[in-house]
Amino acid sequence: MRNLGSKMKKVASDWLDIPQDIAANLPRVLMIGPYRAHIENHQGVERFSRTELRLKTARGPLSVTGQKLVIHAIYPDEVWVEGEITEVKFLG
Amino acid sequence: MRHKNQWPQKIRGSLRIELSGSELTRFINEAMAAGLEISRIVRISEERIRLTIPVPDYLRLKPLLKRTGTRSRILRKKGLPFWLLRLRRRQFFLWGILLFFLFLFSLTSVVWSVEVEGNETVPDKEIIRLLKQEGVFIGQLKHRIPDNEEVQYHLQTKLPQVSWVGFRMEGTRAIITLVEKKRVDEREKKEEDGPINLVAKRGAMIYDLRVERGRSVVNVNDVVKKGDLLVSGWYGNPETSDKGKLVGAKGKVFGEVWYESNVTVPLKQKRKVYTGNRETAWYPYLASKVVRIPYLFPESYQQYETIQKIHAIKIRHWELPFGWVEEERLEMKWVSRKLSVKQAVALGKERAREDLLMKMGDDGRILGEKVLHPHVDNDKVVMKIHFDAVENIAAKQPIFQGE
Repeated sequence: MRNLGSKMKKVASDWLDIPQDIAANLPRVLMIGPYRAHIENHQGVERFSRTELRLKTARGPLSVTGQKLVIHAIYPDEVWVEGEITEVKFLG
Repeated sequence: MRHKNQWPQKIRGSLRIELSGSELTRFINEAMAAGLEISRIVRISEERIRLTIPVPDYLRLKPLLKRTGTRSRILRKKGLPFWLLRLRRRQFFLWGILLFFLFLFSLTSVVWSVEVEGNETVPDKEIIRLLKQEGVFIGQLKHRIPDNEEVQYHLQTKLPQVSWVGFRMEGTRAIITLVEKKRVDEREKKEEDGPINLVAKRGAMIYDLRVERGRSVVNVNDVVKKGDLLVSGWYGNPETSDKGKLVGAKGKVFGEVWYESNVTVPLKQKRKVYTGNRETAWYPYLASKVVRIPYLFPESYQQYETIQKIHAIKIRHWELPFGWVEEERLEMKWVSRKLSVKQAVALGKERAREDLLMKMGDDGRILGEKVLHPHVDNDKVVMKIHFDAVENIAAKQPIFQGE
């Protein structure tokens, strides 16, 4: 049911030309080189260690892996991670 | 990207804390949801994390810690409140700083030396004594010194042999600059004293005589030759000139003279004209060489003149060998003008007049002029101008007394 809702949202946003991150509350990732990543529209931290930060999002878990990861700042809708990031990946 | 209160954090103060427990991820989520400003979270080990939190938020942390079964330990305190606290513990240091500034301030608000420059005959001591009367002396507080103008005025009235007095404070030095009146040159004086005759500088017809002293020997409309006596320095009978009273001649004798000048005026004249457009470029200069950086300030004019102003970096009076150069480029162009023969003649006449007036000096004036046979030759107007002028023809000739 929820899946259907998100699909409809996607269709609606394509049709109305609304950015998907706003319409479907999808995460939005901004990376600055391999050193910094901003992730907006997250729904909380699932796991955090030196090598991985896993976030809950509307699209499923989002995993940021790398070395020496530091959560530089965290707000209810945005995370700012620093470190030597190697991968940003959606799981499942 | 948000930078929430980046710098006020320094003022509010923040804490670096270490948390240990088993539900640290839940703790992060809850702290975030509660709106706590947690930042720079680092995982140390499986059950320990470190993070930075502002002081006000630390107090709100307590219920969260309890709920998640986490314990906290403060590692480091940063920011203004903690700094002040530390400062209070080291009061002597603070007093030291204050005392230092107080010392500096009190020492610099006192006159430490009085310097006199520019005096040749007036002794330094005299000036220093006068300054003391005005309230300028070593050890005086600077703010008790009257205005520069006032000091200058008082000293000026007290030192009649001085034509200008400048007073200024430079830091803790009081500097007084004098310009003494110039005495009349000895040689000049003698010349003034010696009796003279006035003789003709050049052949002329006498136009006017203005004799202040002495006896004139010529009349208006007399024609004189060069070297003729005009005004005698002796009073009395002209036949027995040596018997009269010697007074020395003084005055002016105007003679009508004729001048001829040859003038050539080109018909085509080229002149430089500034268009009014200007641009400024800045270049650094090192060791008295201008470093031209290409493409930084492109030259947008085809023809231009430059004015360079050098700004050397100064430390007090010491000029450093580098600085920057302000280069102003003024666009210009050549404007050529073609003159008619009539205009050229008028221009030539004007120039010749100016030349002549300059040559004759203050007393000269032109009665009339005549342009003689102007003709065009090789794109130039060549002409001869005849001037009828009046000028002071009197020259001084000393009278030698005795045998």
